[in-house]
Amino acid sequence: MNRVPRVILSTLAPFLGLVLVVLAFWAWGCVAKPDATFLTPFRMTLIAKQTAIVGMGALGMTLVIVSAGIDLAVGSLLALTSVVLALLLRAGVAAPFAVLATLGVGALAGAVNGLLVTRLKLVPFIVTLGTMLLFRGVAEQIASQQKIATEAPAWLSSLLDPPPAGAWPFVCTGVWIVVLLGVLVAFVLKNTVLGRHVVAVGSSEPTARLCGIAVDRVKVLVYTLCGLCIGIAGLFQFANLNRQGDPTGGSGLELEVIAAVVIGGGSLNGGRGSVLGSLIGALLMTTLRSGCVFAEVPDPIQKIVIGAIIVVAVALDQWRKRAA
Amino acid sequence: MSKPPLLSMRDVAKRYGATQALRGVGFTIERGQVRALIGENGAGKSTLMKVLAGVVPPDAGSMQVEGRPYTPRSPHDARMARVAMIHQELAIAPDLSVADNVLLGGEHARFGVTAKREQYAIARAALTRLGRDDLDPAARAGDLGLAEQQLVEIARALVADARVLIFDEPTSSLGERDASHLFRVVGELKAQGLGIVWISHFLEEVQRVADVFTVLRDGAVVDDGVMAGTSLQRIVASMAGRAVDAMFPKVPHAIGDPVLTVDGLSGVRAPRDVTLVLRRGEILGIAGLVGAGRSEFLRCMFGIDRVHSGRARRSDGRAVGVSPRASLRAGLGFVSEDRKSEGLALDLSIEDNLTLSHLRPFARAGVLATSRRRATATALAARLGVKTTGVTQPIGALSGGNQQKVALARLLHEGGDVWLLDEPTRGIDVGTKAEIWRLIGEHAASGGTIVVVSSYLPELLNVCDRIAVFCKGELRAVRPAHEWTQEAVLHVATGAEVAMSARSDA
Amino acid sequence: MSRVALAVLLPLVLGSSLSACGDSGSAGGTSNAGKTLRVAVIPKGTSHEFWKAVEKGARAADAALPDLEIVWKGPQGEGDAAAQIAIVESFLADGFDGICLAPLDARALETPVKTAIAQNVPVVIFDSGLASADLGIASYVATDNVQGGRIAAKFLAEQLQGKGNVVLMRYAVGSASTEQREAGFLEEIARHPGIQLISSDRHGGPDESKAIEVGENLAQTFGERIDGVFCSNESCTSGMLTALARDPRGLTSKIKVVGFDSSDRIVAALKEGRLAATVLQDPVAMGEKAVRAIHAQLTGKPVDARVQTGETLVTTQNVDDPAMRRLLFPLAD
Repeated sequence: MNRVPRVILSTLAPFLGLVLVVLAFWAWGCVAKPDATFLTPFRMTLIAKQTAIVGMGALGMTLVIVSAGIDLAVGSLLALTSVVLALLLRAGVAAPFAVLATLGVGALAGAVNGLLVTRLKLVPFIVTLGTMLLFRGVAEQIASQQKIATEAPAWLSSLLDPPPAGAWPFVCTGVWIVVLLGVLVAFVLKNTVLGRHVVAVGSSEPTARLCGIAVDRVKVLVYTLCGLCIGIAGLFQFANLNRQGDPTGGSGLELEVIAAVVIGGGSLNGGRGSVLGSLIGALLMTTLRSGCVFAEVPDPIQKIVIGAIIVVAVALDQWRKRAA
Repeated sequence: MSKPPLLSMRDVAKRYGATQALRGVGFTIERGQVRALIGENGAGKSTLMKVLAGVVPPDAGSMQVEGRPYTPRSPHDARMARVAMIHQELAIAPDLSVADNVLLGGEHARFGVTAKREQYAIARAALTRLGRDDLDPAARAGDLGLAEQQLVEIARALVADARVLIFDEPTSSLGERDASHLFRVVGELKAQGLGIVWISHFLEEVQRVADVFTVLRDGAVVDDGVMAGTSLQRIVASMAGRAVDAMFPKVPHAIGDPVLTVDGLSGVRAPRDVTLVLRRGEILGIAGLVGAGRSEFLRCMFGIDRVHSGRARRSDGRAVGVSPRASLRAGLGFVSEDRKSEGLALDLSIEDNLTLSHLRPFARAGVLATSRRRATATALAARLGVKTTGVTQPIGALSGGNQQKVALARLLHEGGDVWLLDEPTRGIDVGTKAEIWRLIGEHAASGGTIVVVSSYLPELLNVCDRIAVFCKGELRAVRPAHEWTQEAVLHVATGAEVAMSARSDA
Repeated sequence: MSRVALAVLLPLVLGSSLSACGDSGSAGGTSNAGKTLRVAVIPKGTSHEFWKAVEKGARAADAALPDLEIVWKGPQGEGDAAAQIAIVESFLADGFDGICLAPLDARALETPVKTAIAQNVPVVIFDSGLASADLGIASYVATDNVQGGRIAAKFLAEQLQGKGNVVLMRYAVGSASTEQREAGFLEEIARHPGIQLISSDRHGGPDESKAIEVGENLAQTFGERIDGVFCSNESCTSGMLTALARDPRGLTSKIKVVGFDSSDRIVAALKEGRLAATVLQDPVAMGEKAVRAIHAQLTGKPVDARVQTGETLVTTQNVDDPAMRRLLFPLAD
């Protein structure tokens, strides 16, 4: 039965890539830097932490891409949600309410994307290209084009603070949130009616329509969930910037998130994508960046390597499809 | 009759803009009955289907299912009323499992979480009813063959407890063996009391499957009756509205010298080691089951699929099969079986589609002489009788038969002498089929050579000079057409070890 | 097309009399009493506090000069030279009398500056320079960034008592002012043989979250070996401080950080001792001097080709001095 190897292959390939990258840096360290090692517990927690924002975005983007959509507005939305949070906190709104409102703004913005795609029957690429600028503009406008610095309770501002190395809970709270939500999203995608409908819409939209699936509702929901994920990532961004909202932050995030999903086996034609794969894809890119500093690889080379990995991932995916 | 019919339709009318697609159509289907719906393209069959399946509402008329009014506003409504449609272009989500596909839109779930074991059991039960309990419910639907995907779609209808099944050209992409299995399945479903609407171009098949028939022409019912005892000639005559003397017109042509030699040609998976000589003025038919390597043979010759070993060359030494570009230069022309995604650019105009592969005659220093190009395109379209409002019309707006005519007209324009045609008459009405065969005959008469793949044996037997039969990627036999019978072809095509019940058994 | 040609063509096109030509023809020339001079002031960005302070100085000059009116407009963020070029060009098209520009890219912005000068629109360059010296700009108003970098290096070397390992976090490729600071820093640090430069090829960039990540990776890689760090602008300084503050090994109390420019965060870090010092420019003076320079040029008064705006080191010791407060909180009053 060729089903089993396919499932394993699609998650295994990015995972193997990750292992390979870690091993390469580790080996380089053994040879060139005998007094240091790449595999310190603290570096692991750090890499996990640096993956939190992209990973959170990748959860939402996996849903969108599996449904054959795309969301280019996630970077701007990250800026917008972090600014909203900072402004609310600065205005004295209690932190739990400010957080809820931020998540609401994220979900609402996602719903706007979804409604534009379904009601106006526009291509998601163009719709979200538009809302990318729109959300960025709103963020800059409400922040008066400045970073918004404010105070916040520790549970919020320490979301991305790593705990002491090697001690429970090993990685920062934000990473645990990503992991738990990752399990949840993977479950939803595999074992729920909604998840099956998302795959059906991405795999063959006419079929989904003929089978009585409310295709538009599924799409709106998918974009809304993606927006919600970015809302959560906005909390991370706020915490990461040391209690600030940055209206210019997060530019280029959309491409990193899409790359993570694609490296993880997602297909831009829809129907295929794995939560675990996407998270590994995100982890792979952060590990590379961290490793390149460790190995003193210059910035331009680092970009070349990451670009090559994206191309290889997509090529591998094509090859797998043909071989199957 | 005490019970009301399973499905009845009365005086149904539908108008699209200036076109009256349906004018007062009516028929009934009883339990355990198969009604064939026959008509040329544009006769109103597809509109009728859409009305039945709830895709478009009728302007007038009424429908009833088991005596209750039936007014579906969506495919979902139709499904709720237990009317299901099996589409020609199969409605399958390739990335979902068989079980997920069977239960798509009607999932068994608790709090939104699917009950996997229960779903597998239901899917397996439905597949067992269709005689395929060997299909794995967990398999990815996209990995299945076309015939199996079709069964998945039928299983979906069974799970929804459909009482009426509408089949749209169900055998158009099936080989003989799969078609035979489908006929058996339909027999079972009949026995289980389902009513079936069967839409098809294959008249022999209709004769075999259907109990009753309805012929549509120009949106109206022109003939209706019991299948048994009705001659094909009568049905063809009512479809065309005129007596069609020959369904497969023969144009006299003479066979000459060799023009192309295929020497041990093998593709990556198929074909395997094919050796063949093509002659001037010859029509060579290629028969075989789906997956026998027939399409792959044409694609290797034209250079679309990679040639693994062996070679093909023109008698003057020019190589073919290296790339489509080289093959075009060497005088080959190719029409794919999948004209929608590979043969034609649906968004482009007729003119563009006709001339795109060969723009050089109209170009001076890279600039196109548009008026000359338009004149050529118009002349070609007229020569083939393409029904169109003008050559600037997008080709997607044409009927399937007219699209196919444009694809063939392009070969004429390219001016190559060897035509490779993959299923050129699939999904095309009888009238257009005859025109296409006449065109092929004329090409042979003017010294051209044609290699034509078809799953419809009667046309190969009637039109071709020689027939080559493929099985499992190999060329098993080539003989003059008059030495073949349907049974003999099937015997070779199935590898002789499987006893086949052919369509001609009926 | 030159302004004179435009002035001739427009009335022709409109079919009105050619007598209008005489009036408008003199508009681009020397002084003309009663007419307000319109000057565009184009910063590198609008969101950093530094540029808010420059704007304050520019507006102060505007208020003091009745015959001059400024329009303040910069690109979004600080990464987009193309957007800044477009802004300069649109001001030229609008017929502004003079332009004050802080070029985002030393080479890319030369083209619109050449165009402006060719159209007799004088240009004052501030904050950071252009690559070519012979463009004919009216004046260059800027901090001596090389000197700023030297001051930082000298202070850091003193703090480390002449020995230790230092890291330089750069800002971005192509940003002349920060590259000068980095060059000044490297030049001065090389004079201290006991000090090793262990990393100088990392760029923090304009996005603070990226700067944090770079800071974290540097801290992770070199860890306790680092004795001192220099960051060449505000977002890098801020990002590095955040990265160190989160380090569980307590690197923040071990490592001497010297930054450049200021913000609320940076002042707080100075007061808490997490930041040893930061080099301050005087952005208010920069804005004011730039506008005064363009005004002098437009009204035919003498203009210095190079106007210095000063650079000052603020340390944990003198952070509360009134003179420092003015530089630290340029937007306060």
